[in-house]
Amino acid sequence: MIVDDEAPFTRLLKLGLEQKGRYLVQTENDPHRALRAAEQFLPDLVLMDVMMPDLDGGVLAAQFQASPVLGQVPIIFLTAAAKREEVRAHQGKIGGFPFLAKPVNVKEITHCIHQHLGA
Amino acid sequence: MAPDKRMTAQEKSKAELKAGSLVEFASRNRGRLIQEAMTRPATAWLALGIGLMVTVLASLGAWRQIRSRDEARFFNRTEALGNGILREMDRYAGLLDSARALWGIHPFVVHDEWRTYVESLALSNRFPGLLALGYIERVSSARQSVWLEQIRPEPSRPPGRAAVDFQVEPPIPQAEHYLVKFVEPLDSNRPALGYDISGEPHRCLAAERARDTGEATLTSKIALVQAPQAPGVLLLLPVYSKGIPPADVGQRRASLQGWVYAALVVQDLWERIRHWGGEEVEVQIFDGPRPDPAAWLMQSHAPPGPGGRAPRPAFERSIALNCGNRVWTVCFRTSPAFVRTPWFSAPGYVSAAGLGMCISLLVFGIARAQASTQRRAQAMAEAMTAKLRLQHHAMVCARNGLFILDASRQDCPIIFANPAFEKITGYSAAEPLGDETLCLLRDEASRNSLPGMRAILQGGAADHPVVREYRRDGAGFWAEFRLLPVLDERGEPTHYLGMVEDVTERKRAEQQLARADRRYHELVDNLPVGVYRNTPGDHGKFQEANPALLAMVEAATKEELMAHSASDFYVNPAQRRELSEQLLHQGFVKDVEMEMQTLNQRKFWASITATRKTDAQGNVFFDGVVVDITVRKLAEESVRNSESRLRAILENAADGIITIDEQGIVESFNPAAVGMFGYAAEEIIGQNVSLLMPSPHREEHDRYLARYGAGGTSKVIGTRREVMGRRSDGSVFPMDLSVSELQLSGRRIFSGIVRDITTRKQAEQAVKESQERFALAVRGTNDGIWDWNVLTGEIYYSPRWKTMLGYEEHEVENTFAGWERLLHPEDRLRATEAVQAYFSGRTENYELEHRLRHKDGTYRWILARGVALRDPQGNPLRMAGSHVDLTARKQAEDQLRRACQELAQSQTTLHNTVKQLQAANEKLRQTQLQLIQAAKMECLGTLAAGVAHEVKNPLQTILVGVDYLDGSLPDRPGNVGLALADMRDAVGRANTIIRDLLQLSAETVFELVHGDLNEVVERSLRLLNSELVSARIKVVCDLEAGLPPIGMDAGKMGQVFLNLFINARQAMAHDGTLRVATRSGCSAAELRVEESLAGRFRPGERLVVAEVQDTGSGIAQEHLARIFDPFFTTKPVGMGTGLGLSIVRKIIDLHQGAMEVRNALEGGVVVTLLFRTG
Repeated sequence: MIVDDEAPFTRLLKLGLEQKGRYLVQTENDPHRALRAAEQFLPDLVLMDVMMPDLDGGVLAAQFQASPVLGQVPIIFLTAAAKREEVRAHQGKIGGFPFLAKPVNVKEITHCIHQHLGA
Repeated sequence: MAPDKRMTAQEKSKAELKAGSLVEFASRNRGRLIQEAMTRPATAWLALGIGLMVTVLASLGAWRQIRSRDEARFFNRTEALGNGILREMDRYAGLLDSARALWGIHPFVVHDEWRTYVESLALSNRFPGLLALGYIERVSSARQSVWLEQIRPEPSRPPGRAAVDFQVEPPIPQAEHYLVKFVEPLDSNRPALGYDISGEPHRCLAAERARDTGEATLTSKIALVQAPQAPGVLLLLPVYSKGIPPADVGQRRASLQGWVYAALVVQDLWERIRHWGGEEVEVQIFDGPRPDPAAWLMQSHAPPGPGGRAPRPAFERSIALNCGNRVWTVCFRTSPAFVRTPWFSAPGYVSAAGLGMCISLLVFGIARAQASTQRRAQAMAEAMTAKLRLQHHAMVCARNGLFILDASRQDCPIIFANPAFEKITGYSAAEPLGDETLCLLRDEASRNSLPGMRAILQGGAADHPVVREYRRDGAGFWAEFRLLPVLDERGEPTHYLGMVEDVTERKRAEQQLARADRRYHELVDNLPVGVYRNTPGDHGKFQEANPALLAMVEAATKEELMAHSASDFYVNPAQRRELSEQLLHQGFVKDVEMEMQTLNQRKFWASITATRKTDAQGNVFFDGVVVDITVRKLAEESVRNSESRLRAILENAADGIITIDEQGIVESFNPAAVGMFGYAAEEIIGQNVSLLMPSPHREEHDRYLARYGAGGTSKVIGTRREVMGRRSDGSVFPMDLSVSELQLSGRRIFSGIVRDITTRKQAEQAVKESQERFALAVRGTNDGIWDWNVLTGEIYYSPRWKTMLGYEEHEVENTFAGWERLLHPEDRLRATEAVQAYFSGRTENYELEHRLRHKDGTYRWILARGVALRDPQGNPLRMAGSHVDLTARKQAEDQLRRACQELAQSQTTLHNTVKQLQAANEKLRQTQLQLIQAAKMECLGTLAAGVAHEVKNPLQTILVGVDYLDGSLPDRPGNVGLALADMRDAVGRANTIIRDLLQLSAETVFELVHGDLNEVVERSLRLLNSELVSARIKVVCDLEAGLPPIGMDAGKMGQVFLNLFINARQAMAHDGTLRVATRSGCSAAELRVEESLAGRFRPGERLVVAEVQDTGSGIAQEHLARIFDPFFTTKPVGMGTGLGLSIVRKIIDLHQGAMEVRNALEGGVVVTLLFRTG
């Protein structure tokens, strides 16, 4: 599941991941609706933007972890605020969550997904 | 020969007859020799003829058989070579066929794919002669421009490889073009790219035939674009859009897409074909059905040069090969290697023939040799006969008596004698021979000498004693005998050859000569003068000398004399040379007087008279007579010495010396007198001496003399008086005169010695005047005068000296101590030292400024000057001088000095103030600049942070979109892939800019830790190492060991150097040099940096400097001011953000360091960084 206020981005990433043929992707552009949508969709993994209008990615992630059904679902942050070098410097983790610095290509995203799903 | 000869001698006394019989013998034998010689060659020639015939027949049969076998071998080789050529061409066709398969995979083959394919083939190893593998595309005229547009931006070219410049050649307007689209290897085949083969008939024809047949087709012989000088062909294979060649021609033409082709140099195929028989067969390939020399494609062996002709081959053959839809004519001929082998392979026939030939030749040779030996023997016999006759004639005609003794007999009889013998001895040739051995030696004396002759005969010694001999008629004569033994193999004499000569005349002449010689020697040896003969030159040797000469030079023997050179006896050896040269030149010298020396170095005078002689051999020598004249010489010398001594005294005396006789007439007048009186000696000698006196003596002098002569007295004689003299010009001068009287040869003469005392008189006058002048001057001057007797210590002080200091005459005692007491205590040491220095000569003048106590208690400045009088050893005896009062002058000087000091002080203060003001101004300006820069950065930072987030999101969208597109077009055309790559690239670049911007503005944590700058530099260099190596940039590090640590943020500092190195690397295209240096120091000079840069730190502070220098093109002058502005860059788009130096500047500012960027004098840019330590 992808949560980002950038609709074109989510649309294209969904297409890109589905093209690989191994993912079922749902997108959500409104962070406020993201939790409910996820509880219905029950994703294996969530890609989440950090900076979204009204709702910070960190807060949303806390809500996801608090959810009984989503508590164990891994979350990967995507952020435009960080630089690639910083991601490497922090072993790809901020506040306990792995994250990727925008812009990032599909290959890196899939690589990261594989890492965290262990598949 | 010996018995023969003896017989002849005994039977016929005439020797001519004996020689004649030898000739007869030779002519008798000749007939038999010729007969034998005639029969032998005929046998030889017959044997040779038969042998040769058999050999020829045998070899003819052998040759036929071998030739038919060779022809079969040649045929086999040519077949193999023809097949080899066809096989090779099939390989190339196969290569093209497999290349064509690329189009079967997909129709849009791009150049990259072609290159990959071709590189995988390893062409040069497996396909020699293959210059290029390419693809020609069929393009309609209408589509040509569109096609070119597509082809120009060459897709995904590898970095570093230049773009493919596509140009259609030759530009021909027609319906269709066949353009070379790809070709590999590209580097060597670039000119072929874009070549339009439809414009070239040979290629076009082959291309169209390939199109119509669907098969690999060869062009005729063409000049390849890649290698115009080697004959080449193209092999073309059509590519149809439907893959498999369509069935009929119409379809084939319609669906033709293009051709794959191979450009071949046929010559290079030889290397692969030759092993099919190329060593023995020469191969030439011609294009077309006939071997047209203009169409040759390959030749295995170089054709003979223009002058040479190839040897005729054993076999030749041409075949026509059909390859690639073309007929090739292949011509074969045997090579020299082919011809060489076969003849040795038929041993039976050849050896039989050879053996036959050898035997014939051997028989023939033996016969020939026999004949020629006979001929040579006859010729030799004739020559010997002639020689013998000549020798015999010589013996008969000889003037000396010749005879031969038989030594084998006890009595040694004479067995031969010539006519001259008869004439000398009076015996006929027959008479002395026989039993009476040596019968001519018959008188008593001779008999006595007979044992001697025997001894000679037995001992075999060759001697020729002269003996008294008697003729047959009893007349005596002197005879000289010579006897030569003839020895046999054992060394025993068999015969003696004898010669006798009448030497009576000679003997008499010798005796006369000996007598004359004896007389001559007696004469010469008894002469009292030296007589000699010697040779010319410096090293001339004595050859003869008589006893008188030996005695003269004190030589014991003649040999001792001869051991020396003639010049050894001359005191001055050069004189000997002169004498020798003079003799050689004029032939004689007479009474030349020379100083000589004996062997014991005793000197003596000699008079030499000599003449030059030349003997029969042309040798030149001197004969001479030497007389010792030392005694005369010494007498002369002593007379000359006493005269010249006297004359020298007179000539050189400083005083005038005049002698007069009793009448007062001048007899001598020396040069000093001449100078004094102005008369020349000739003028005054013979005149009356009164001429030299003024009146009244002038008139009275004769009378004085007369009176003295009459027994009176004189006031003058015996004393010295001052009198007046008169010069020739009439002037009068004072002089000293002393006159003496002497008796000379009974005559009374007077000599007067005069001395001019004008100068002395004048000097006396001058001294008197000087003393008066000095006394006056001392009275007139205002200076005090002192005069010090150094020996007694007494000093005279003048009255002025004392009043100058306010004292009365008696108040200062006249001693050295009197002065010392008045000295200022501070000046005492200096004053005594000045005196000492002057006395010891260390100072030239005595001059001393010192203070003396005035009577009123004040001190006065006094200048003392003086001069000393010294004895010959330089010790001062007396010293005198003056005192001048300097007090007023001294005071004025002091005032002036004080004023000057004050002025200098105020000037320094002013100068410092100006300097401070300047420094303050500069600091203000720097701060202002930094403020402006800081404001710029801050503004930019704020902007950047906001922009970054907003830009990164769209970038993310684009990137994911690109990835998606990339994934959704699995078999996209090449251009699409390129577009996607470019887009991905653009996203990356935008991201880099944003990242740099953020870094520039980010309020990141800044942590100062003490560290070694060298480590940071080395780390940064390591990071960039691969980049620098690939750009072939040389890195030169000059890092000071033990650099003092500086406080820095190592991460940030690393970024600084990374940025600087990247800039340097980009400024240098390739092969540049990057210099990195660090050093420390306390001053600008020590650090080797600009004063303005070091001036930003405290003076004397220890600083560390880092310098990065490249060898690029430097920074343009107009850009230097802007290099620190963000986004200012001179690099092409995509190579740099223009933020690098801004970031560096910011980091350096954070470190409170200083930075300077300038162009180096030697080119390139130098970046200098300065940090404080500690």
